[in-house]
Amino acid sequence: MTQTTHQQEKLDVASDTVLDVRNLSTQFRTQAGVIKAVDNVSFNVKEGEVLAIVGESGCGKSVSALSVMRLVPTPPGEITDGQVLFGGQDLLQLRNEEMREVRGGQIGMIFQEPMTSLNPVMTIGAQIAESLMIHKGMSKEAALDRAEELLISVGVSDARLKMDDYPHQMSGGQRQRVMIAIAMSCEPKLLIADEATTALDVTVQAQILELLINVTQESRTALIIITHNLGIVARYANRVNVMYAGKLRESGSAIDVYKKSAHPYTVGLLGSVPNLMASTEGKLDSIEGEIPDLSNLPSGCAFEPRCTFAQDRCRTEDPSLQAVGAEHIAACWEAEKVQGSK
Amino acid sequence: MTTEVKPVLEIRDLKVHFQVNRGIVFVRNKGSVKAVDGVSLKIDPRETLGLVGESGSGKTTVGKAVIRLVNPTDGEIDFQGERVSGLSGGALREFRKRVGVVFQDPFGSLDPRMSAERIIAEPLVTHGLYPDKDERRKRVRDLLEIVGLNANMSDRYPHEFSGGQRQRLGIARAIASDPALIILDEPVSALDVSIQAQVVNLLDELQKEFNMAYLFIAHDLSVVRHVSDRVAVMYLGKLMEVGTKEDIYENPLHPYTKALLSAVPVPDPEIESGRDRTILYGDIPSPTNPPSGCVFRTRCPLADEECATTVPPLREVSPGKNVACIKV
Amino acid sequence: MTELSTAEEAMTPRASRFNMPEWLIGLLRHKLSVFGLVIIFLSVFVALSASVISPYDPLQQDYDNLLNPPSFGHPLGTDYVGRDVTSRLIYGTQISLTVGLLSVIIAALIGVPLGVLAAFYGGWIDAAIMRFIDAKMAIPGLMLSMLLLLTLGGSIMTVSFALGFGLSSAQSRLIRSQALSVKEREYFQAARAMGVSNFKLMFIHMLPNSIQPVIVQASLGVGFAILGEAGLSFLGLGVTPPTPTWGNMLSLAFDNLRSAPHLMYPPGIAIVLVVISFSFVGDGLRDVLDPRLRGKI
Repeated sequence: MTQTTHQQEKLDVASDTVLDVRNLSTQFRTQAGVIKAVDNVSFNVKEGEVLAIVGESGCGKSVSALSVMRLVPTPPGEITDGQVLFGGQDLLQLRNEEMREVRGGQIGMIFQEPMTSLNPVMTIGAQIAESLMIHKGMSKEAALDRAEELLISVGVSDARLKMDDYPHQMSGGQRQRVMIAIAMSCEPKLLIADEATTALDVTVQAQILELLINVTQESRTALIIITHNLGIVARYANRVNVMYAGKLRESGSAIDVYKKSAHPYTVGLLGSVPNLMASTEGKLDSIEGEIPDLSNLPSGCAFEPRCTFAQDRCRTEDPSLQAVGAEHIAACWEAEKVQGSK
Repeated sequence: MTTEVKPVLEIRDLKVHFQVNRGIVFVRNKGSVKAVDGVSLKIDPRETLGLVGESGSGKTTVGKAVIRLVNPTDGEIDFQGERVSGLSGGALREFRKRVGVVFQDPFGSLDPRMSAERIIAEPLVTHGLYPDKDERRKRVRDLLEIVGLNANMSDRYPHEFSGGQRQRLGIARAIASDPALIILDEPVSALDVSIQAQVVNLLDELQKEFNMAYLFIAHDLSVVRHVSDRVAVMYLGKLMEVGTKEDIYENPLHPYTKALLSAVPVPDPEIESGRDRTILYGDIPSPTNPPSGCVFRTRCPLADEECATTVPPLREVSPGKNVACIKV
Repeated sequence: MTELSTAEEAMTPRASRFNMPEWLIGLLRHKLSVFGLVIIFLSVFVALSASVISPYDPLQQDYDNLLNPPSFGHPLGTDYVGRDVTSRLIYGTQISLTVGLLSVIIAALIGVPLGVLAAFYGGWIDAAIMRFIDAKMAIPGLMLSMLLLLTLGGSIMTVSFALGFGLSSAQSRLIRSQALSVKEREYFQAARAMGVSNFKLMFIHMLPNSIQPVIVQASLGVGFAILGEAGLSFLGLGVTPPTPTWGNMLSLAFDNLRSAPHLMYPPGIAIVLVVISFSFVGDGLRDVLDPRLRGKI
């Protein structure tokens, strides 16, 4: 007990902070050179909180989650720097077998395509039970009973019958429910949903997201939603991290980031989405240009070539994150001007 | 407004049923999938009709049936007043010259072994347009510039372009033969948000400049609202509701349209916190075995016994506004 | 519109800049393929210049020197009627390489169009073609070739046809499966929606996008055909003697195994080397042409 307290003091983590990522950097070595997929990214998530990480392809949102889970394929990937503080320890320092305990036990993860995470030749019931037997040391009978309860709790109708189904016999939405059941089976402190509803139809997506929110809120589990869908973020997230080209560009409460955006990229992203609630005429405020090649980033701010606020300084100096409001940070030299323009 | 405008495309009672067969020598019919089951639509010149629906709704099949990538089982398709369903050979080719198609996947819709120039020139060569080689090359370079690409990129291969640029190439190919109608099958859904907006803007400009009509097939309701004049909502092969975009988005009548709209989260935390959410239960039924009566009744909050026996016709509730539901 | 980055441009060499196609550059980085290519070029050189470099007439018999071991006058010895083995090996190279290449060309000419037709039209045409191929594959390859040769007689052309006919089944199946996946691709659908003719659809879009594994298979097939020719000759069904082929040389060596064991080695080693070389090049091509590996080798 004393030792835990001591460690917590040393790591200086607020008591309700579940995950604290500090200066995380992950690189990939490729033929084209070293790619900084995640570059000096820090964020944390508190108990019962919903944090969204948004960005477009290649922005590093998925790699940062994989780095937390230590699931980055190595080689070519490598976590080069940083700390991932979870439950009073740095996950990056754990031995592989200790990390396996954490994965699926204290941290659950749900991916976009459940078919790749489910074993095609094992029944649904057996797969949920397996996780319980490994992480909770349950007997087979107890695990199977608990598996059925879990299936009911994630809204699978005819749970008893579905226990004996194989993954391919279920629809995409049902499979994602099973994934949530497996992820929640060991009462994790943190759940990471990586584009978990991207492949689903709108009406099914809404069901799965409601379910995710309900099960995590009930147990005060922290939830990280990784998505490119700005609507999902607005509907469910308490806090938002906006990433671009491997770096965190803006972070704050959902209201602040959407209503008082301080980074031109955030402004551009929001302008790119057509309005569902009102008929718009004319052009969308799109961001010009292309998403940059990570192996060949411009010096200075990576967003500068596409930025309408860019100054000479942006071409040479990469801005660091600074406060632009209460618990609201952004990495832009012109943050004030950006906020004023809205 | 008394002069009747002749629609570019008119589809009447289109049916596309796929036979599901097993075996090659001893063929057993395992039933049929009614991918499209009695769809009627029309598109006026310079108009954009948005066709929305979830997977299994048959929206893509409607587009493919128009351009005859699949053969309709039944129904009539008229293009600029001429019957085009049932055409074959040279007449079919002549029709295809006047209709362009843009596909979803910017990585798969361009032949990887062809240069940008050959890709864009292919419709010109196929239809004998610009027979002179230099003129054809000039046309290709013009088309590249029209879609916002550099004309000097014409000797590059698809893998040398980014996703957004590839989609621009696909658009250049689609407009090369000066079509009156373009079928856009999920043209922006594979692109990143910021690139999506660029392509939507480009499509908008091109439509105005070249007076084309669009059949815009998509599942993203926000994009469809932005680009469309009128919108048709499909579910399991049938039309649920058709109307102007104001009809559909501001005053939806069909319970499916309502549920679909409330399922889409909008990027505004303030609006989201005060929004009603109608969450539909259950999954979309399999198109091999659709529900009797109204296909939506298994997930519909208004459904009763009557819905299980009556197939709701698409009826006009006010001029230009059609709903297939007996409860509204 | 932003230009593509310079780094990306540097990564994708253009034909105009290098004068050498990308696949060849890749192949030259593949060590075993280079070994294979060297052996193949050597054999082709030997075959083309046979009349210049061979020390004797390969058919000239010399009853004073029967079954001689290697000597200065006859570096690889003489056979049972006193013919110079070196000269026979050199001329045999001509026949073996011709049969090997001709066989795969014939296999491709028969197999590729059948496979493309089957994939493009589908339905009963596909079923008919594939059942024909299945029926053909049900008969062991060697037996099929033997049957054909017994009726046609053994010449370079007939042996190549017999072997190529047998090899064509694999080519058809391979290209059909590739072409079927091309048929589902959007670029194919796009071309079809544009009104491109069936002929062009098959031979401009389908064929070039399905041919890669066929090329790999063909380079492996050359070795296979050389072996097949050797087998047939060994059984007395190949190219009719006295024309020297590596196969009938091996057959004769086997007849004189006790009295002149050295006769085994020249044709044996030649066959092994060339067959291995073709399969090295085939493997190299497979790696280089694999789109997942392209640009990474």
